Amino acid sequence: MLKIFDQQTAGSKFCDGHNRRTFLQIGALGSLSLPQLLKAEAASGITNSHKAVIMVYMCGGPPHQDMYDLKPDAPAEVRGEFSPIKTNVSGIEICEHMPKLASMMDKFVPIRTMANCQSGHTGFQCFTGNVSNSEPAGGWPHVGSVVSKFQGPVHDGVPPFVSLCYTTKHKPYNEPKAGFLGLGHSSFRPSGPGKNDLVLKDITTDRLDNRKTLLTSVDRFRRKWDNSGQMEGMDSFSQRAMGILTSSDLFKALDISEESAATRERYGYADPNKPKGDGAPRVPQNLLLARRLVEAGVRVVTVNYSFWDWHGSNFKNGKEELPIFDQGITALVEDLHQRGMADDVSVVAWGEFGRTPKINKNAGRDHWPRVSSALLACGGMKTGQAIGQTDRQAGEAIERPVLFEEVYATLYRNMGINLNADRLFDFRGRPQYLIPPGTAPLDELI
Amino acid sequence: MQRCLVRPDGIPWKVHIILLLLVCVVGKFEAQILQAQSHEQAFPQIRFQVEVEAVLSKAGCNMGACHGNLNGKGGFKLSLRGQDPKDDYQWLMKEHGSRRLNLFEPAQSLILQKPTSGVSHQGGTRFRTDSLEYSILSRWLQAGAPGPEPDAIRVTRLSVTPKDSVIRHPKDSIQLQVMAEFSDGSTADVTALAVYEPSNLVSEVSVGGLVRRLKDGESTIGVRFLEHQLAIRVAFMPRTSRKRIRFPESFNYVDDLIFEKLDKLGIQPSEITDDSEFIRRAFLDALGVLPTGSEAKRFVESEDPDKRRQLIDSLLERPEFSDRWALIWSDLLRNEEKVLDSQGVEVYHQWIRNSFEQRKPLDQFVRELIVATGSTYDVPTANYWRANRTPDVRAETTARTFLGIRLQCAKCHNHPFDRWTQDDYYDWATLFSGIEYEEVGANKRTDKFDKNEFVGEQIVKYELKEEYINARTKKPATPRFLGDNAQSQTMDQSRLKSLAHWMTSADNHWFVKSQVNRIWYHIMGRGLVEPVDDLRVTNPPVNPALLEALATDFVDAGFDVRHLVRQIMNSTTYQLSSTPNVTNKEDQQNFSRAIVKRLDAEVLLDAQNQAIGVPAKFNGYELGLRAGQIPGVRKVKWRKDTPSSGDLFLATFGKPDRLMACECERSNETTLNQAFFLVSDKGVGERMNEEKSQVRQFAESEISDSEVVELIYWRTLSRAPSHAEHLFATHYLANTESVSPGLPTKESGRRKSKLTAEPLDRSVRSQDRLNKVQDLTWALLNAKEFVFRH
Repeated sequence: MLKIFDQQTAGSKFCDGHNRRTFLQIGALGSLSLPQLLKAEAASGITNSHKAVIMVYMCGGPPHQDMYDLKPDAPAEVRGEFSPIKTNVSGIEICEHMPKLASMMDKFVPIRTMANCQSGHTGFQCFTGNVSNSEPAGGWPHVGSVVSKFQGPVHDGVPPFVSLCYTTKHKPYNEPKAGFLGLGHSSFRPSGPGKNDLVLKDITTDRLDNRKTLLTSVDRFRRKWDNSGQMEGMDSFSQRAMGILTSSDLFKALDISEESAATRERYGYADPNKPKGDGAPRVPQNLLLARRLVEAGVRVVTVNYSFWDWHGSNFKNGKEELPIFDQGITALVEDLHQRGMADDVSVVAWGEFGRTPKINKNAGRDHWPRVSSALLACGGMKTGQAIGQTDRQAGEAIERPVLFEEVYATLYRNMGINLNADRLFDFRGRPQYLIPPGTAPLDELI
Repeated sequence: MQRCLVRPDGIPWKVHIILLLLVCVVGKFEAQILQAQSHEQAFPQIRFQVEVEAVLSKAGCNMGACHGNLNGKGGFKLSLRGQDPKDDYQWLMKEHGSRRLNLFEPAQSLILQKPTSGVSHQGGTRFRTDSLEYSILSRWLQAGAPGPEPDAIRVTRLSVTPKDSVIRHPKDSIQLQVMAEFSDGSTADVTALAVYEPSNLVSEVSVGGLVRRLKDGESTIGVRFLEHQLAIRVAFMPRTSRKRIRFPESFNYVDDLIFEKLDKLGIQPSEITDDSEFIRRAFLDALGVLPTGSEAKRFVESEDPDKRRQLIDSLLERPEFSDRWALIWSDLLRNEEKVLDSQGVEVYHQWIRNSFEQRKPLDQFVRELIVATGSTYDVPTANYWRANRTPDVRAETTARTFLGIRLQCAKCHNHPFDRWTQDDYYDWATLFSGIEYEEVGANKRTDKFDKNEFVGEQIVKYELKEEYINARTKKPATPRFLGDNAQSQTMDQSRLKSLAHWMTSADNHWFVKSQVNRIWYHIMGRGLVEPVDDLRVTNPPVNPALLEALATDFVDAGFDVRHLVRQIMNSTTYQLSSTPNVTNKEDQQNFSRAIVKRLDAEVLLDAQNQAIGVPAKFNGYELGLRAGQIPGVRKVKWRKDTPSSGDLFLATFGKPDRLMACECERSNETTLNQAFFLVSDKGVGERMNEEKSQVRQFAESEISDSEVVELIYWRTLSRAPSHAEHLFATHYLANTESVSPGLPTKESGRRKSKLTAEPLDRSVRSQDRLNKVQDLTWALLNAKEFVFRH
């Protein structure tokens, strides 16, 4: 007989389909120690084949109308210097300085109508998907922290969330932290302040091995307490740290020299030492690094890329930057396809806002939060289409405005996270949804 | 082709079956009628503001995740947990005559169809058509859906029995009974309409109030009926062995009350901890530093039976005691440079520290903070208001920090888990609305990222211009203390003095209990109420009697923090070992064994440095200042100067940024980055390498390997190495092979000693010894025994 309804637990079921028990279980995750989490994960059947996101943040706001949404019929002071070219998808045209992208448009989706940008130069909308001004207690968590919280590490050797972002001079470009999800879900940053710790400097690997053995022995002598699992957590973290320091996957993944010269050439090179403007340096090799990290088991990799706040010399900058970006991003997507990772790894490249339709006296374009663009690829999405339409000057979205949270709903869906159902709690114990409930993934892409 | 079977009595089988079915249907119908009659008997009267609202809560319709959401759900909104019957009625009636409320055909109303899944409902099935909920709603509709009456009857009191129960095998459940008293003097059994919310997965509660065991342990169950709620505790005991519990000797009331509870629960406390673990724990908890090797050794070797009490007394007199409490309160009072600027941070920290140094009673400490006005440079306490810049932040922070009341929910709606209404919130917030700032000179800060970030002096003034506006009534709020029902109080002109007096009075149980709980938390590692600043009726203490007793003791001792710390630390409970036994291994909250916790960022770094004998550098401070003595968060901005390895350590291990007045901001989580720090940070290596490093001095001295091992164990783990450890470590130091040994076995021991005998170049030997002493120290600094409080 079909049991439709269980009277005994009726009062405790939530309207999102979770009953109080699952709700408590979800809520209780925060107090789980790592080993418990790993066990829970193992029990829930999370396996090695993993979904991932590579997010490229283009600091400063790239010019949407000079990249994916050219308006050749607009007046000269709006149109600019660049001409559109045809792509391998009929009906989609993009900038002439991105020929490689044009030749594989079937593997991409430009969104032309990102519609709810904030007016300041901040990375948080790109990194959290949250544009609301009212921050919850503790702050909105980074997408990588969310994934880390819900899905944990794929395996011991690598953290779930690696940030390849450089610290930028303009502070709001920098990524938000784990927010109310707590330190435990913060990014692992091989290029951040901790980078020195990733490489053994003063001691040899042999000596580290010695120390490891010594530590294991010291700990073994007095192994007693610990019911909380906290110590076990420490243990497994130091194991991982030592693994990474000696010979682990992450360490290897970060060693880009293992790639063939041809592959590295395909992504392209640029001067990695100097940040552009007050943004990030331009390092297309980081896209390759991102791919290596995902292969090694990382779930979310973020890259901040160059500097796009072109109040002057928009077209001179464009001529220099667009081909390099074109080469790097197509290399990444081509690579993911060739390696059979295209269905699992979602790629998104975007900035915080678009640029003014009208070109200013310095041949630049100023901030334009009313519309912006994003480039999506892979992740099992339906590519080869452009989403949204702007007016004649690329100044307003007139068809299919897209919200940051919708892109996020799509990314989380690709990752297998149901954020409409899963609530989290901020530092003050207030329930929070990571994206507003009811926000649906972009149905064009599914 | 159909064949009709005929029974011997001549009547076909078919007829029998039909008759049987008919009997069943009629029977079921009758049962339904009976059921409905019993519902009517239990709740003969249907009033919107009582029975109907109770059903909307009971079925979960009005919870925050569903229609109680600010924006409703699926186009239908209710007030959160039924706190506003008038609004609810209006919203329901807006749909009058529509499908939602169909008075002509009540059964067709969506409010009956949806929850019974008669039509599809995203929230799923909430109740059945034969349920009490259905009966109440349909009878209400049949009566024409009357609205709330103007002078409606109210619930005046709710009581639940039993309040506190211990369930032993083979019993697995207990039935609750919920009684409501109404404003007309009547009482009713509302067990069937109350909402039950267990705090954890130890138990589950049926709609009828039957609490059932899911596993062994303790559960707090929130019971809610209309706007009233309270909590009861149920403990499900494991199948106990017949063995009697042996309690160690009780030292004071702390032990009496803890043991009484443990006895009830059948939990045997852990053994009393040994002297090494005790002195280590006592130093870390009271002072935030490790005992030195010799302090530890002297203590452990002393045969004075009174030595623990003496040690505690001496710790309370040490300056580090004030350092530790200055750190705790600097976190809570948001002492950080961005808002207070570094001069403000210095004077504020100094005032906090001096207060503890001078044994200022805690009530006076809080009063001085609350009444403070004046220059933030000259009046250190004025920084309290400088850090909390709007009436709502001041109201929330003050309530939370000093009274243990989390008010913020009540800003937008009545608090769902506590008694606080929106009016309470705004009447409280307006007490703080007169605080103003005068900036002395221009802001010396160059960027404009945050308008609250101000470098320079400010004058805090009290100048009431207008009352804070109540967001519900849109009218100016009436100043009123929390929990005070009187409409107006006599207050001094600035209100702050009256406020400070009211807040810190010995009768203010919120103040006393929240402060006692905080002190307990910082010594024991876990609060009697958790989270430590969340005292409410639905979050009762694990041991109410103990919280009560501590509160009384604290008041009697004139709010003397040292007195309370002394009482706690002298208790046998504090001195229990952290090693669990069979009966208490699952117990996390009754203090049947010492709590194991990762050391705080500052404590861990200071402990490392003390063991090595070399301080770490913090940008902006003299070398030698301990991490636990740093007044603020970040004196030198990271973008101005590369952070030192000490600064990075503190950030990585969770020193809070002090953006919230909350213990919760400090993270004790373990992260991969921390592991990296411990494993390979250059800082430790460099400090161990320095000339004055004890590690180096031991290695380069003539002291024998065996003695070096002893010394390092005492310095790091505050104890002597065990025989096996000693053997192992000496062996490691003596062994010239670079490959590390496993545990020395007979065979490998022989093999290696042969190798050791080979002569080696002197300088190579000494470098080798230095490396090995460093390796051993490193291993001990990374040992869990070192990194954790236990």
